[in-house]
Amino acid sequence: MSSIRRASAATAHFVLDLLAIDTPEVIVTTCTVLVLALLLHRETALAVVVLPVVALVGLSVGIWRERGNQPGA
Amino acid sequence: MMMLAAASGSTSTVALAIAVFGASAVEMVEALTLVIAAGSARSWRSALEGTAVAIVLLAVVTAAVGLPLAHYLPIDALRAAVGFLLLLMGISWLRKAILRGGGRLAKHDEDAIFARTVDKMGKQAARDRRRDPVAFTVAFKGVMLEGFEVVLIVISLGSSSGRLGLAAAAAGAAAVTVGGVGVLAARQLSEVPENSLKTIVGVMLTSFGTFWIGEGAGVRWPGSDLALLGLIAFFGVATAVAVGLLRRPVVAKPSAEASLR
Repeated sequence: MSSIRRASAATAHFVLDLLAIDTPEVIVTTCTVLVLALLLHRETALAVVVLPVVALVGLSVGIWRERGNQPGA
Repeated sequence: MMMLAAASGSTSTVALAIAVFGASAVEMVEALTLVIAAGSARSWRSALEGTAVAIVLLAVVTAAVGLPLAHYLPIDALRAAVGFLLLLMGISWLRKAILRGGGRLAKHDEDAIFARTVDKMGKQAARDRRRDPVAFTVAFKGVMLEGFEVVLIVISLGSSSGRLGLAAAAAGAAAVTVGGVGVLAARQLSEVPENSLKTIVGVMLTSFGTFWIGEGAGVRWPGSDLALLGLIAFFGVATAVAVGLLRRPVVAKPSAEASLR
């Protein structure tokens, strides 16, 4: 059982490393963009504005959270 | 109308080639750093063997998973899935590139990674100097992990736009360029402007990701592929503004206690 757990953890770690995902808002943002695209696919004018803006908001949240970092501090 | 379609096609072709070339170059620099570290510190023979085994394994995975995926999955589902993956990677790359550009995250230093890897390997005694398992493992893992990202980007961008050959050629050109730099400069990989490359690629992956998610879901972008230019401009300007804001010196506000004194 523990070897299965270890293997699952190693696989999950490898996939997250592979996709360079290290913060939860990346997954939340991408899922939100996908759901909104599916919901708004008939409203082209709205979708072409909303999708990039939502992606940008998700990106900004990650930057905002880490803005206080001082490298080498 | 035909001219618009032609312009739209060539725009997305150039954007795709730049995105694949840039992303592949960044990943290959990281992999090459580890291979050179393993080779010079322990054993060139084992490091090159590890690299070769990883490349063969990557080719097998690409042929076994990538090509059938591109041929048998419905194009809209493929585009949505590809857009999802690209947006995941794009946002992550762009966030780090912006934080590095704004001085809030230490830059990716290939010299430091090289020194750290050599130091770590030096502490583990080699049992057999001719074939060194440590050098093999370090080179294999480095090439495998970074190579997987290259494969993912080539398959994603290439298959969803129906230009798998072009994407593979752009990745091949990146391999030749980075390999050439590696051979000529060996330990001077830190000279490669990695953060600038990562910023450009982050902008492009985020733009492609948003575009393909929309396309896959049925959104018809105005101007078709030309909309990619609009998205690249949008995320590019946002990135420049974010880096500019982060670079501004932080002015400490006087605390309430201090202002009472």
